[in-house]
Amino acid sequence: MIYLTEFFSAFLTAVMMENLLFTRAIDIPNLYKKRSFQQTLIVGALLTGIVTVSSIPAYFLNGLFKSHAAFVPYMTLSFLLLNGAVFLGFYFGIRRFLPKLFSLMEKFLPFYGVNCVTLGTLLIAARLSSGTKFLSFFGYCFGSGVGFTIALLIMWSIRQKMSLSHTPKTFRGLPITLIYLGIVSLALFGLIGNQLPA
Amino acid sequence: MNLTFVRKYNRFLRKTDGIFTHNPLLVLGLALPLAVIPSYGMTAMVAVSAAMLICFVPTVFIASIIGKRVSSPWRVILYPLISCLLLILSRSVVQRISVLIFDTLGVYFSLICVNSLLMYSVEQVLPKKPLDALAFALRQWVGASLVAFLCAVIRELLATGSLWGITVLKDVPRLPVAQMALGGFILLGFLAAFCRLVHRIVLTLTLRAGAAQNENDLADKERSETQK
Repeated sequence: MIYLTEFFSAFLTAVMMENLLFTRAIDIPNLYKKRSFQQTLIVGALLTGIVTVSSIPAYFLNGLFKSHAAFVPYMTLSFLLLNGAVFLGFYFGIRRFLPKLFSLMEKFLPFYGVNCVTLGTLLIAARLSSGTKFLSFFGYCFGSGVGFTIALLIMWSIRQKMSLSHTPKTFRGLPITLIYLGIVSLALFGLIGNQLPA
Repeated sequence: MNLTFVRKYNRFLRKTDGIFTHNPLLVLGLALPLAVIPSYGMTAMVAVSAAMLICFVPTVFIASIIGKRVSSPWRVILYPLISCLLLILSRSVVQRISVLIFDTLGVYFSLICVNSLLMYSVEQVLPKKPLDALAFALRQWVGASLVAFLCAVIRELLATGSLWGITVLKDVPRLPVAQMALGGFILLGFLAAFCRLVHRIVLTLTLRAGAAQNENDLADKERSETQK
């Protein structure tokens, strides 16, 4: 029960209160690109998969860095290598076992492999974790991926609603999306206050 | 508006592509984490800009030299790795700006090596010559830094009434929300809209100037024909 509580508290924190997009402004390449509902789900699932798989070896690497403070400047490099290796595994795995999905995603797949979301989640989880609780580390990474997928879906629904409403010409596209992101962010900051650990 | 001015304006826009036109932050919405979070104050923004100059510009230059010799999935790992190595080197430079800068920036300093502006730029320079790519990277960096500095100045002034820690506005009500992520999002949104509005006004004036010039040319033609 304690383990489940650990996992779910980290998961819910990452999904809601420390959402990568709304509270930390962490993005991916082509964030504002028009996508269908299905494409949005695929991108979200891919990001969640990469972050979740990377979190397992990252937890043990983090333990190593915590015990050897001199190597901390190289933490980003090691997490980047880890993230790259997991992405390559996903890339060749999808190409080998899911050729239909691969043909759909071939062009944009590399952009979702190594980016601010995948690396940022590992770095934030490493900073937040005490170094002893695997489930909270894993739960945070999994929750970040799910939270970012929800954020992408919210952005998709914003676009759907905006296309039906009258928006002034100068605000169409990126400006209104940024203002909308700000308003959603304001709602979440109402929950957590105005301080976030960096 | 004179057509000569319009031509000059168009030439100016072509030369400053990436800075005033197709700005990576205001038009393309790239490098969002670096534009929204560290831009709460000038110190953090200077540190990020310095680190970006050291990491981003050389990486884009190297990307143009390597070109398409490295295939797509490997490229996505190679360039962030180069950028990350340069980021480690840039730590000593950035630390001189402020002793506590790494605590202030947190993970956002590390995210410089995978930011979406870098991922976009390395793909854009693949068909370009190295010198053109260098100019492109510098323009993108100047464009991003310019907007981020503007955001940093406005947000720091609104939130604390100071610039670089020096109090500028004394008896003005403070707006702490400007330093939060939502302040960055909303300010960037309004800046993007304002720039678009200015561009639209200039374009409208350009079209009017073109129409007026055509009317004048037609009137001159008719006059010369009636004289004949």
